[in-house]
Amino acid sequence: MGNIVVSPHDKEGQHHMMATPTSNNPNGGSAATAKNKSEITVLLLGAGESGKSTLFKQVQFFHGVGITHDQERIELIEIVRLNVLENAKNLVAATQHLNIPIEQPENRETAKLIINSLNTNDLEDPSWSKRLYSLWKDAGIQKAYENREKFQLYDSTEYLFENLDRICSDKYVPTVVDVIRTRTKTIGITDMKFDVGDGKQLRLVDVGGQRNERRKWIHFFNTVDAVVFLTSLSEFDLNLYEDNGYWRVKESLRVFNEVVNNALFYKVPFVLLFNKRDLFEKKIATKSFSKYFSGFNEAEEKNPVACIEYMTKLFLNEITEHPLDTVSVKTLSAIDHDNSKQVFEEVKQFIMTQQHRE
Amino acid sequence: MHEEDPAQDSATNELSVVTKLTDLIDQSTSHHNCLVRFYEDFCGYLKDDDDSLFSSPNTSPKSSASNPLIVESPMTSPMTPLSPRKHSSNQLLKRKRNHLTSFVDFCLSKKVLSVEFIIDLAKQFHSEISVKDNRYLLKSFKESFTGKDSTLLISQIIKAETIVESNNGFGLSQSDEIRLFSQCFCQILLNYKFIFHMTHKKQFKDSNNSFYGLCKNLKQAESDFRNDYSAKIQTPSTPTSKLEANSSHSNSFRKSISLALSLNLKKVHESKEVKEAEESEDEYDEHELPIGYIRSARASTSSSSSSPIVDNLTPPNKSHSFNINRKSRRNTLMLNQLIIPKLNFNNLMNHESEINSAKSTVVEISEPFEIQFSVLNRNENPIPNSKDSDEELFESPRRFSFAKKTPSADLPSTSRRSSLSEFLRDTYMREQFKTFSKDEYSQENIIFYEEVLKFLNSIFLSEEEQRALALKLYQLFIPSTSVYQLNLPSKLLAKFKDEFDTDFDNVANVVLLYKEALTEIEHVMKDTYTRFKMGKEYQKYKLRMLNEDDGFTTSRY
Repeated sequence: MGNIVVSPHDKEGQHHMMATPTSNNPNGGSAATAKNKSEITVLLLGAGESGKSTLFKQVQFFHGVGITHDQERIELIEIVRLNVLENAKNLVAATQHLNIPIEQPENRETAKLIINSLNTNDLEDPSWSKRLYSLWKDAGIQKAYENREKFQLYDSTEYLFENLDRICSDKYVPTVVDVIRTRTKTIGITDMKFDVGDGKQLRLVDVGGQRNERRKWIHFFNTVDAVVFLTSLSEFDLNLYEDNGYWRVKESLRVFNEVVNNALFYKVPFVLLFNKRDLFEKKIATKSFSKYFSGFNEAEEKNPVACIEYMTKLFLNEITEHPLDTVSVKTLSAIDHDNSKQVFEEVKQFIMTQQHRE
Repeated sequence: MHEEDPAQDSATNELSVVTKLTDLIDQSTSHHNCLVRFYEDFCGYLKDDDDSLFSSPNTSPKSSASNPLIVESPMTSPMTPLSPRKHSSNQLLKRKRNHLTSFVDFCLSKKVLSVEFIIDLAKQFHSEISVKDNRYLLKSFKESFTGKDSTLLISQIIKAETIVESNNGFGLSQSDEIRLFSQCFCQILLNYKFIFHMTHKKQFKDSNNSFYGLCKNLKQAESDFRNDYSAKIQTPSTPTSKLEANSSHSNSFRKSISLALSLNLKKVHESKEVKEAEESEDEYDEHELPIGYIRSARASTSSSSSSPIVDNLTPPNKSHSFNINRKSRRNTLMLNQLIIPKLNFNNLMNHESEINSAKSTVVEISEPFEIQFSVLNRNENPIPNSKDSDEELFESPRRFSFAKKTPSADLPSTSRRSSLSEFLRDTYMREQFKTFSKDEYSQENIIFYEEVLKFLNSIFLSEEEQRALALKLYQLFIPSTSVYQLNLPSKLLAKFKDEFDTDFDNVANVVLLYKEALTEIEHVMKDTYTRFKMGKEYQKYKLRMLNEDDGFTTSRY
């Protein structure tokens, strides 16, 4: 999948792995517990909305922790529908903010309801599917959507609106893809453990990415065995959620710099994942990449490989302390099940071999 | 026309029987308001009773027969074809009677009625009742009177027919309702030993076959009652202020009762009820606000059940009286909080003056508060249910347990916040959730949630105090250097920054901002909440909730 590999330790070793997640409950293993030799702690780090939790969910899914309980499904329905509503609200608010009127009067009515009263239970009514879809297709909303870099909107918006007829039904059951696509802002720190053979356990730690959440990362820094740093390729035209006006790429670079050059991580294998490759490829087809990066050759701006190569250089330039041979760089599309499975296997192999070398 | 005549006749007959005797006593006028309020509770209670009857899981054939909607048939009385709401079904009446005792207890604990009123009532009762020797089933009862007599007398003393409004829709005729209402007072007199049951039963019965005697020492009973009743009440000693304090107490309780009840209504009464409510709304006088409140609340809520879309469009039209009541509810709510010096930010001097000052604010709502309330109200219009639950978070335990009794748990979880805020009302679970959050390094959210609710519920502070508190909260939660920095969107952070730059000059705005932040944080906490639900503690909680629904009470620990 066009991975750029800096490290030579990247083999396609299909190690068989027992999928037995032991704990999804952070009470079970908080950071304070003594470091177990047979336990490998992998931190998922990155700025906000870089896809840490999406990868986390993917790993959860292909290690057998699917949606099992009915109760859980009901919770998920709620979350998916909440996502739909939030997307709709954000879009409607954006039309006001950007001064783009919603064109059809009946869509304006729908918008009013969305802002004022609509809640997730209402979406059980199939009639909402049509109303929301017609709102989504309204020229005003579409125009706002095209200008989505000017406000905060989830990446999943289009997907959710295209699947409204499924979601707005009393028989709706969320699919794995739906769950992967939904966005929930992660708060605090959560973890999950599963066996990776050789009597070893891998403990994957997911964290929140906004500035205030980052202050909590430090709690895990001294128990860490590997770091997976995610950054979103498609964020080159976006501003921060917690600080509008601050460029996301700049923030990602800053955070990466802080983490990778941290003295605690000198001897720790480090993986840099460029996430949202799918979105990125779509985006550069319509948007100018070179507009945001002055050092980039304008002629190449429609070539995703060249762009990614440029981004890679940008990030690797930040590394001043960390030994380069223990840094691996890959691209990822975390919403793609097969791709994330493959990439995660590679990451795991990389980490394991690095561990062995020690 | 043929059918109408007997109906009118019987109605006028009933009235004339009562009105003949009303001139006897003039006592009730001074306590009229008191009574009206009590009557509202009474109505609300009977309604509620209906509901529990509908929803009770073990609906035996017998109880379903007493269901007023099913009993609706020509066999009852000639009035039914004209007014389908009146059912003189004996079984229904019986059922209501059985629930009366608990209602009376419940009302006494809420202190809707003033001490003076009950004592006056007892005195008059003592002087008016005719005592004679009765015989029944081979037993003789010396110097006794029947339950029926006493109910009749009470209804005259309190001029029940001026208070009792028929057409309330619980399937009773006006005369039945009057009797039932009067029976409440008999029960109160019995409870406080102004009268006693000849065979020492606890429950008062409105019949010719149960006999009661007057207590020997009225003075003794009076002083006992005073101690007993006012011990619970904790009011300053002057009778007028007692009355006022009582009414303000009852205000807040009444609000919550009627709100909860009327919300509960909607499940059952559906669109028919809407029509009824609207009809009767047309009938009532504008100046009788308390009753109007119940009506309008019922109308708006029940219409919301039938069409959730209409719900949030209607409040602006209907909310006039609603808002006023809500306002006063907030005020009286503060009174509760001030009595319990749990909130650290009131440095008021002593108990009595606390109440007095609080009371004075109840009476005259000053200008800045007006603005805040309207601001708050506007904001909470889309989610009135959950706001209620929030308010109850930091109230006195007594009130909390009361809130549990009312069917507020039955409210449909309409807003996105309600299930979480419902859950967080449980103090024990809130602590559990806090511990869990601490393990996940996200305790700042729940701490903020608690602190801001305290802040929002304490709007009796002066503007200066409010500003100081808002600043404190700001320094604790908002800037990037703060101890508990929150995960808030940049727009909100910018707004906070702007306000902070003006030193929180416009406190009303700041309050609004905190409300916004609260909504945001509640939303944010859903992430933690989802994971918390997988845990053991939550399962226990759910089990407990289920058990409570079934009527079992399990120990919390």
